[in-house]
Amino acid sequence: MPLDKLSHPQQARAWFDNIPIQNQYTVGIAGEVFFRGLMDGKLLAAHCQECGRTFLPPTLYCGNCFSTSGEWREIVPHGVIDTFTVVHLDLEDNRLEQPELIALVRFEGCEGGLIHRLGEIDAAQVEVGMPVEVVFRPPQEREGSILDIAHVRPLTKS
Amino acid sequence: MAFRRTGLRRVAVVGAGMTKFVRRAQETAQELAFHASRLALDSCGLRIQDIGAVCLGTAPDAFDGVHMNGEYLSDGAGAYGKPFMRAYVGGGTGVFSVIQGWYHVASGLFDAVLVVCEEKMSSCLPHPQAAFLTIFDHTTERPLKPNLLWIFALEMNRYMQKYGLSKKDIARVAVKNKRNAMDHPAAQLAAEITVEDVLNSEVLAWPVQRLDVSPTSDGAVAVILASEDAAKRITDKPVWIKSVGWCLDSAYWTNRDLSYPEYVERAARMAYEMAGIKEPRKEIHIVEPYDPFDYKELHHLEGLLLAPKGEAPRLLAEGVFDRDGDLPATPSGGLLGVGNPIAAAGLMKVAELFWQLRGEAGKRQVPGNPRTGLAQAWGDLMQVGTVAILGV
Repeated sequence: MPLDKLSHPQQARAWFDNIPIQNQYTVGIAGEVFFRGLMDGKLLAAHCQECGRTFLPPTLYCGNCFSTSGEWREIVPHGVIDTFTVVHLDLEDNRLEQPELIALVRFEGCEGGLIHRLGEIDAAQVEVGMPVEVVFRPPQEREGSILDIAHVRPLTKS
Repeated sequence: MAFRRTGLRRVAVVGAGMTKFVRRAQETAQELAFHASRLALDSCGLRIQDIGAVCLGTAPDAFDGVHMNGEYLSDGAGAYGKPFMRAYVGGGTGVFSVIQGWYHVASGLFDAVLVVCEEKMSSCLPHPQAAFLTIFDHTTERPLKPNLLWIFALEMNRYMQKYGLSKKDIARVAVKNKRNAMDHPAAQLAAEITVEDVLNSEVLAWPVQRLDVSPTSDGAVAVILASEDAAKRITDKPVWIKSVGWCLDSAYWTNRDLSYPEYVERAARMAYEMAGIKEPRKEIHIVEPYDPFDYKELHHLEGLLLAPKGEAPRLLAEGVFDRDGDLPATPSGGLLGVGNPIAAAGLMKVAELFWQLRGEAGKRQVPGNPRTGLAQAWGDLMQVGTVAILGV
């Protein structure tokens, strides 16, 4: 049928279906350590004994020299906002009543960083370079997920 | 056949490594890729800094459940900060990734290339086959709710009818390959079974039964390719890639001869011509044809011109394709025995030739110092043939 004969898209004969798959993701060898650490309220990073770099989130291998990351190090859960955004729409295109603050947080001595929600602060007050700290959910609510971190918030002075 | 014959550099395989093939790996896909890559580097004493480019193969993104899975895997494949490319021709990917690595080096662009193939099929629920439900034409075929087994059942039956073959003639492939896999330390489904076991196994889509089929698997394989100068510095025992070939048939399976893989013959002829091989049955000493189903190994041996049409089953029964036979086929144990993490399974066949031709295959070693081997994979919409010929 020539394209110019169609005056409305509904006139094109169509057929609907989907690709019916789900996926089950293992957290992996490094992930097992990292997520068990979160359940204990700890941030664990992988340290490469060959080139001395430390990775968060941790990987089994060093992204620099490709050795096996042989050592685990607990990181002080204090970081710095590298960049942030204020999200106004959800995935279904609904306008959020309370816009969501999302930040990339970097930690001293670590390669990488964490993407997470920023809480206990107004959007207008957020600044790049601001010191923040990780807030874990109460121990009984943790389930070995990245959401065991409730959010990050401005570092309290104490 | 029109392809360039001059100005290409010689390319060698200088290292190889693989993970175990398993039903469900705890490792992430990236971690599987890392293990294989690290083993391949260590096998020839190279560091990641010595690698100029990385070629990666992995089958549908749906298996790992990650769109852009090649890019997701790249860090685990040592590609961080390097030229990187993912090849994808479905089940043919494992051998095609070596072809891709070959032209990266043969062209003169790179002296050392890491080729990595990974598949993690266990993550795909309810079964990896679901990823294939949408390969069929969405208006002429999908309303009938076909699945992948339909293709194999129709193809196997056509092959049997055309040459008057019985299920028993074909089942011997499963028996041979699962037995060969008993000597493979990475094997998932090695077993001593009988033809009767195959014939008594659950019927899936006649004539395909449970033991005619390879398993779903998780695993990774890596090989390192090097230019002639680099290869001679790296190892005393380079295994040369003598030639490559690949070819695609029609996307419509209705338009193909289901009893004979014409596209495999064309891919093989390209590789034979490039390698100067005139009599494949005499000049190929060892073959690793793609064996996701037992009849496919026979199908492919014929397409590769290593058996007359319809006669691979007779040669099989005579023991020609046994590990100590005249033309050992799938001495590794293949997809039926070692396992079938799609892209990784094809690359495993190239790794097997590397070990066999260096005399390093251990209990799997084919006797008689084989000097030339052929690895073949098959895939896309059951329509691509990919071939690599290796030699010492």
